[in-house]
Amino acid sequence: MVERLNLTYASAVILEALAQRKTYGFQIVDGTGLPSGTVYPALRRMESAGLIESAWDHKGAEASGGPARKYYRLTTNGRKHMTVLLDRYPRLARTSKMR
Amino acid sequence: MNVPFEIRLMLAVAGRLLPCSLRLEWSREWLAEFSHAFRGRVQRRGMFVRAAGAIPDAWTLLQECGIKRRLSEAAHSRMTTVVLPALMFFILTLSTLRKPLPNGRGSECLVSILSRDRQGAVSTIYKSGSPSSSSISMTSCKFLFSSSKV
Repeated sequence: MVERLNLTYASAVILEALAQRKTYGFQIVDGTGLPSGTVYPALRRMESAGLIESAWDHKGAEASGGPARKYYRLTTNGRKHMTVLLDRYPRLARTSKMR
Repeated sequence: MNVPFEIRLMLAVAGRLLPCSLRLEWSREWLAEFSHAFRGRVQRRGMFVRAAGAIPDAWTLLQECGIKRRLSEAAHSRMTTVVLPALMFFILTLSTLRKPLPNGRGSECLVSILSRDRQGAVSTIYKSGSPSSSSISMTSCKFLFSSSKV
């Protein structure tokens, strides 16, 4: 049984974006079309709830020659919640299948 | 660093909300994102809007880590001894300039109604506001009603 969390549609969209692959904050902003003022607070809340985890990508930074970025990815718990959210938001499930 | 000064300033201001222990990693993440973004062709305005998102982000983190912790840290900061009195002085000055006290220097007696009401008080209408502002626009003047026992 998945613990019930109070997740908004925006959080579900972000989780769905993270379900595709590990990614960084601005890529989620670009990919979802949500403002950064929505994406980042949602990422913080979901990280503290244990749905996602973050790590610094030092290897990628060395390759690109820029500073290291923080990447986010779904945890096992987050994947369980994702299936619940897809049931709750059918529209999200449809867009997910289209990708 | 290729991040414009204005964006770094916005991040620094938003970062002041956070305790020192979180601020470093938080600003590192935001600056890294902007640094990568400004390597390509980007709309400056869009980046400013994006930087504004740092404020709700910092606020969320502050709520997560505890506002009390941040306040206690701020209370022990050396900056507080300078910033807090300066802020209080600024607020007091601003409130005094904008709204003079009734019957004070900024008030001017317009009409005295020489009839007593039921409680035996005489009403007086005062106009408050600085002479320069009252001469420019009457809408900015405030009319105060005061009563005095005779």
